Amino acid sequence: MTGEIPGQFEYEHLLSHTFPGFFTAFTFFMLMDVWSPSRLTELVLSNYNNLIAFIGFVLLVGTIMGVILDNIHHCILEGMIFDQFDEVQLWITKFNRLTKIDPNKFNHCDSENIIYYNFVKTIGTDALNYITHLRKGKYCYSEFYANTFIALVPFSIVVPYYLLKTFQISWSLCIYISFFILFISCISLVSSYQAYRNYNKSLYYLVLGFINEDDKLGEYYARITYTF
Amino acid sequence: MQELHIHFKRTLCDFVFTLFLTAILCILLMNVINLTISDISYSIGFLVLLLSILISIFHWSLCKCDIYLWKFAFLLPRDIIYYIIARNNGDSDIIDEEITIELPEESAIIRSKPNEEPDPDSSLENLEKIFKKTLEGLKDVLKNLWCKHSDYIIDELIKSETSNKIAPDIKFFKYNIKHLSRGESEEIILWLHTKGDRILKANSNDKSLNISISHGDWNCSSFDYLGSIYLLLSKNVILLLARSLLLLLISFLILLQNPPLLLVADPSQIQEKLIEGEGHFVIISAKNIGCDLLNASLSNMSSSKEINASWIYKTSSKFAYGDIRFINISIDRECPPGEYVGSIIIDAKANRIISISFPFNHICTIGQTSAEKLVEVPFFFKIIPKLNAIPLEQQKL
Repeated sequence: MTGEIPGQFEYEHLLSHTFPGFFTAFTFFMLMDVWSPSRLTELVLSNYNNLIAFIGFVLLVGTIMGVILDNIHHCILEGMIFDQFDEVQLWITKFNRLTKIDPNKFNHCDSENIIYYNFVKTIGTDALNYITHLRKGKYCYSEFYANTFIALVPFSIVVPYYLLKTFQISWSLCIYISFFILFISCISLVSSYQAYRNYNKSLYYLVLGFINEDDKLGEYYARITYTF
Repeated sequence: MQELHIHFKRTLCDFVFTLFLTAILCILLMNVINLTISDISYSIGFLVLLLSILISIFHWSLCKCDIYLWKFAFLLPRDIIYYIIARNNGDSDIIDEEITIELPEESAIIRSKPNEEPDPDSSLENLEKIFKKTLEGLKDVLKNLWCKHSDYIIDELIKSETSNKIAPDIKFFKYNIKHLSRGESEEIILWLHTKGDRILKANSNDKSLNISISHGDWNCSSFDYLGSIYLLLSKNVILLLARSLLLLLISFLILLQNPPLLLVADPSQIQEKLIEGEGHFVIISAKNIGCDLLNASLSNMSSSKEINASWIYKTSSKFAYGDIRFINISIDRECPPGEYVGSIIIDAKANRIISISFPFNHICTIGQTSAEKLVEVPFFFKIIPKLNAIPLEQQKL
């Protein structure tokens, strides 16, 4: 019997939400170990019961933290940083112009939802496959990189103290490890931006493939949603 | 001169913003390396100030000199970046067509991309001009301050921007489209400083040119004190993040010079059962895995005088990194039966160095931490009476 991920767990969703959450839960554990006078890592590794309790802690706290991190990413990284870049704004402007949705009434997220409903109505359930493909292929990676960035920054701050206390590695080496993790987190941030820009670009082209620029469908659906 | 006024205001706000951020991170860093504000000299304040000035000026010069970097400039609450897309919907090419964009009342154009004419300030060769302009603005403000108009800067920061006197003659922005094929579009980015109305109107003689305008700004109806602060923060989150990362890197460099105060004791706790009349001793090892320690002292927190703790072969007061020292806990032979609870505490001080080299200056601050409790080894001794012990009264008889 081969090991398979159950159907209700989507790999992309685990990648973007749960794994960065696990990372943050581990950072919490390291912080507790650093602040605690006792050695928690030794305690965890001392017997199976403690190890199972630790895994339970990571699963529970990690899942909750993953969702919280995702919200921080949507509010701050996406809403206040990525959306302010010229390249992204130009694609959003093009998208709004194509769908004839008034950007003063609806934000970008609303516009996307409106166009999804429009898609389902126009081309049927196949629309969901196109949208899912785009989200899995582009947007989930952007989310994964952004959430990883948010998880790695506090990790890079806590890790030198944890390594020094638990493994007694020399302090300079611990700091170099922190530098490296911070560098990786910066790469994640840039990658997240690139994936987000590509997603907006692809979304525009996907919509362009199905909507005639002279159509008023977008405006029609916008009005329906707004009234509703 | 009015644009210079806005630029100066921008630089000043940027500086205050950076100063706050640097000061907050500096306080956190001092806390991490076990220093309090009273422990350290005033030079740390000077360092924070210098760092903020350098970051602000370097960033401002970068944004001013490079057309691709100005999108990362510090934005004021009333700054808006407009995205204008002109698309040729006609059947023929558009050649040499002028777009006229009607600007809102009392607004000023900060920058536009692409520029119609090459910007005189956009090359590094003209850096001298930029600094001259900045110097002029600085002189102007200092003059105002000297004339006891001390509320000038406060007004600039706190008051609503209605005090801005933006040149009313700038009403239109004209852009010439040289060539636009059928179905092709051209993108224009316009950075405006507006006062009230935010709606732009674009006109063109050619009806086949479809112009759409949008902006990524938050819809903010009121520009009161709190609203302005919210907009100031939300528009500059990218700077906040980038500078926090930069300061975090500098903090790591400072942390590299200042390892934490950390001792590892083995055993970490003592529990022993002893028999009356037999002297006993326990050896504890303490290894320094952090920074070099000064005045490492030992405290015995036991109520009994029969339990003593002392260093073994202590040669100097300095306890260097990697050193291992031993502590002897001895229980006197005369110690009466009973339970003895207490702890051995090691505390020490350490020197802290904050050293940053600039091309023109080297700042080095040396502080000393207060005595920190580094290790606490709790002990519990139970002394039970000897089974064949003869009571004292019987011995005398």
